[in-house]
Amino acid sequence: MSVPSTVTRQSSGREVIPGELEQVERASIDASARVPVLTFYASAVFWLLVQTVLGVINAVKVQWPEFLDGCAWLTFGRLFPVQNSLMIYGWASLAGIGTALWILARLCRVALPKPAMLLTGTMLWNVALIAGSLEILAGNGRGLIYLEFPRYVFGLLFVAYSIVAVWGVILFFNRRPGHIYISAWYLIAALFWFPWLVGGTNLLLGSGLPGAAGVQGVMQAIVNAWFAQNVINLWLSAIGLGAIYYLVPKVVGRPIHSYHLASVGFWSFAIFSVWTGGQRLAGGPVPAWVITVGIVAAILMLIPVATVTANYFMTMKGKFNLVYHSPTIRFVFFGAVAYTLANLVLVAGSFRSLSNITQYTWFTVGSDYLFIYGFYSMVMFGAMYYIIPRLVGCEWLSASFIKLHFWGTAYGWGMTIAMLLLAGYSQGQMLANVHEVHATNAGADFMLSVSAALPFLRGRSIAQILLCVGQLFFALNFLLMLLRLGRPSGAQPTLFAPIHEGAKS
Amino acid sequence: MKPTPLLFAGIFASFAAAWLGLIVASDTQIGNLQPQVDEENADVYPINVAGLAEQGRRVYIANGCNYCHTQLVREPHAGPDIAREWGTRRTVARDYIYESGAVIGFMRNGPDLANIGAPKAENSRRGYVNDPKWQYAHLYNPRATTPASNMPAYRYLFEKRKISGERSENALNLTEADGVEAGYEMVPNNDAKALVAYLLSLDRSHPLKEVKGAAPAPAAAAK
Repeated sequence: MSVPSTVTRQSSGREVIPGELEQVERASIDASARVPVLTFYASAVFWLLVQTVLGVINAVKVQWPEFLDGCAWLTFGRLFPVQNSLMIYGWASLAGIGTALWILARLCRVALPKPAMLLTGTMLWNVALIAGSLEILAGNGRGLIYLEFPRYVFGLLFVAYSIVAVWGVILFFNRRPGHIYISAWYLIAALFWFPWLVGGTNLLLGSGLPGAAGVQGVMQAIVNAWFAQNVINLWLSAIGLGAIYYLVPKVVGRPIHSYHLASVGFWSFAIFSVWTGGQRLAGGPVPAWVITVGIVAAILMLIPVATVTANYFMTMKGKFNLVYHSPTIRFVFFGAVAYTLANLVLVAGSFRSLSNITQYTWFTVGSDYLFIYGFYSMVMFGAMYYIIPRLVGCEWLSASFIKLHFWGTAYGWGMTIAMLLLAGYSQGQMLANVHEVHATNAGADFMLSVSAALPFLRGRSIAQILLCVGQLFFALNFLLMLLRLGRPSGAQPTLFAPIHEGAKS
Repeated sequence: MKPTPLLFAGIFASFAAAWLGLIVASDTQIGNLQPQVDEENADVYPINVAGLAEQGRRVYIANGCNYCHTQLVREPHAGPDIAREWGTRRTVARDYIYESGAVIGFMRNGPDLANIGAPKAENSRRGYVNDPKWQYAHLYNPRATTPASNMPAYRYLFEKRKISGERSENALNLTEADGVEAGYEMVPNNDAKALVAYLLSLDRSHPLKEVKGAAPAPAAAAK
């Protein structure tokens, strides 16, 4: 199935010379990865659908509080944390682990050993997600953002993760001698950072309630803010960047523009990203330096972001027409642009003049979604469009489905994020001033901020419905691939439009 | 140095540096705060809530109140929290030594609750009051007390029951049109009572040495 017959299949020149031996090797790696990686992907797509539906319900609830109200299990304060947790640990993490393992296997040129163990890990992970969601719905959530699951659920996730990630490490240490490609740096780093992050914060936080073993109140908030920003940076962004560095040279058919720049980018990312997070508590009851460090780190993050962006655009230079043809490149292009934007929004939102307005509003949610959905999830879709045909041995059935998925997702998430940022800003504008007209009534004054955000929150509900439609087409296309109902392998990969001679490298 | 050990050393060192420099350092600074004790009148603040109010904190977190309500008061230069009468002074780490970190909150889709239990000052602009009856009515149907509110209704924290003897003190003022027939009453369940006890225990107006200029709020500092 790895016949390098088309532009998307050409070796970048970074791996060994294309040849028969290499094809056999790739085929054996893909065969070893088929069941575990597809299981990760199938689980990820399932949780993607669940959290997308929850996203619609929650978006509607915010603007129309009577919707599905009056029932404990369906109250916004429980569904919203379930949606958050499934977004991070259901969709994003599972898609990321699948992608990371496949790319590492390809880069290290080692077949995945003992796929049965990987399956056990995935199943345990899914069990943990079900248990965690039910616990939150039953009122046993911890209320800490992205750490809503009770601590024992994180214990289960940790065990499941260890079973899975150990294979990534085994792959890496058994790799064929040679240069370690930049993608592998990011992926290996992510695989190491994630357990430390999740394990360390959960040990510090305890049950999240005072009295139990755990740090004091404000320290919990600091640990939580640091975790929330870094599960995005050290875990999701690291995988996303690793995937971009793999996919773009592969599809474009040339090595990355500057290896030196990539290395500078990686190390500045590793050094600065870990210090972000404090800015999420701006104005809060925490030592001022914690906030300042977060702001400075967010600004310094523009260095790695600039290197990644420059490298990406220089590698793509002259090949941007691939955005019209290749599904992978189109999704990755959206993701790469969103990554730059997300960091700029984070920096802008850190400055006092803006943070006094946007702090403690929907703006923060919009900013997180720009990273998690706008950047990371779009890159994961790009990766899945590239990887899945190589695993199942047939090509995506319908380019129209991919198109519908792309536009549904691009509009859905794009509008959701824009609406949330605007809702947060207008809400914050109203909150930032006490209004003369309501000089005698603080409640009415506060309600100005609620009504200011409302039009944007309505816009978000519409965006969420579009998003849902897009994801359904993706799920359908994915299901057809699992059933091997795609187009026969060996044909041209499924493209939006045929590539003309001039576009080939 | 070979690239692989360098890679692992770097991955380890970057994380360890931030862990020490951010988490351990801030925990050393504010992780072991004690209540402030005034030697003269043995006035201790904060005190740990217990009993019903402590259960109420669990209800507060279980229902995700903290996603839309913060419990923090910023300094005047960071926002008009004090002008809004959400508190008389900014809140600091010592205010939360017996609290869950979660209650500090993420968004202000609803008003801040840091001092919702504090006594209402004279000529206060505050809409809500530290009166359990108002709280029950608001929890049961937020739109009954605040017309355009987008807060969810917490009807599941209430139960309808037959009036036996006298009407209970906490029963809501509801009529047949609201689905409560004659001879029945709608009363808060234990969770609702605990939640309201917790809310009314929230008072972070006690002066603290580390907060300078903790003067009473300027009434209606309208702009």
